[in-house]
Amino acid sequence: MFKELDPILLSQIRLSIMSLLISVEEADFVFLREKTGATAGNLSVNIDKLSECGYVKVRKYIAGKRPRTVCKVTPKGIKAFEDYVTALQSYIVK
Amino acid sequence: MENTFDSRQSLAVIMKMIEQARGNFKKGGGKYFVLWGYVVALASLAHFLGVVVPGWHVVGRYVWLVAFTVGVALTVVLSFRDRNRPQVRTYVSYMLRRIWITFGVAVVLVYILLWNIDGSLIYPSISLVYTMTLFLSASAFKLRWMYIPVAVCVLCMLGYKFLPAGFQPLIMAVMITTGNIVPGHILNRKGRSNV
Repeated sequence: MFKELDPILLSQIRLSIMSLLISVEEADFVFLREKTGATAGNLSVNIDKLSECGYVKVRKYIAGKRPRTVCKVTPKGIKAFEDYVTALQSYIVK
Repeated sequence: MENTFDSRQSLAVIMKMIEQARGNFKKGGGKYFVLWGYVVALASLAHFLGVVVPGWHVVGRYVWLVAFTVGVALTVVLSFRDRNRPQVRTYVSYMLRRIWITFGVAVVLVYILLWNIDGSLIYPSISLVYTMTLFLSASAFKLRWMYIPVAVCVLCMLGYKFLPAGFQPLIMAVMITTGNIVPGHILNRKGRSNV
């Protein structure tokens, strides 16, 4: 029986964001944008979706005169990512 | 419209992103390595000159205080300039910060403990702690070539045994050049193509 894939992570951009955040302690918006190649608007929308699901914690603050957005994956997000990878592997093996 | 895709593409994206994050060296990420390398190397050379050049002994008395002050000031300036750059905190950078903070504390403790007991043990003791810290850094970076400076530092430690005490600052300068300056420049060059 195939495991169901999390629809939140079925998006390439959201999967890219989660993959990057899994590998680091935290990353800011600019880093995520440069590594994913997404536009600022697209990235912002998808980060918000991940945040609403509780997969990512977003911290916004002002550094000097610039607004900064820093993202960090949550334990729930790590679990969702692990389940997603496990489910993917079951698809590929079968 | 969102771009959805199949399982193999998913795994390819995951692997690519993880590789990007893991191999990511920030542009200028080795600059603190380089900065403190030059500060300590120049201070060591100045101390050595203070030992061998007649009338320069006062240099040895104050050089480390000046070097530490300059190093801290430049570190603060560079940190302030970095605040607007893209920020990513990796688990490796987290460990490296703690490793080098521990080194800094150990250096101060060694100096305080040995100053009034045997000043000739200060350089070898600090060098020993430095070599161990460098080894831990090389392990954290998982870069094989970083073990070469570690090996050089171990060899330099033997110099403390066989060379006169007056050469200790010179040995330190060699260790720092090999352990900090050269790797720092290599890391900076490596980071040029990254965020």
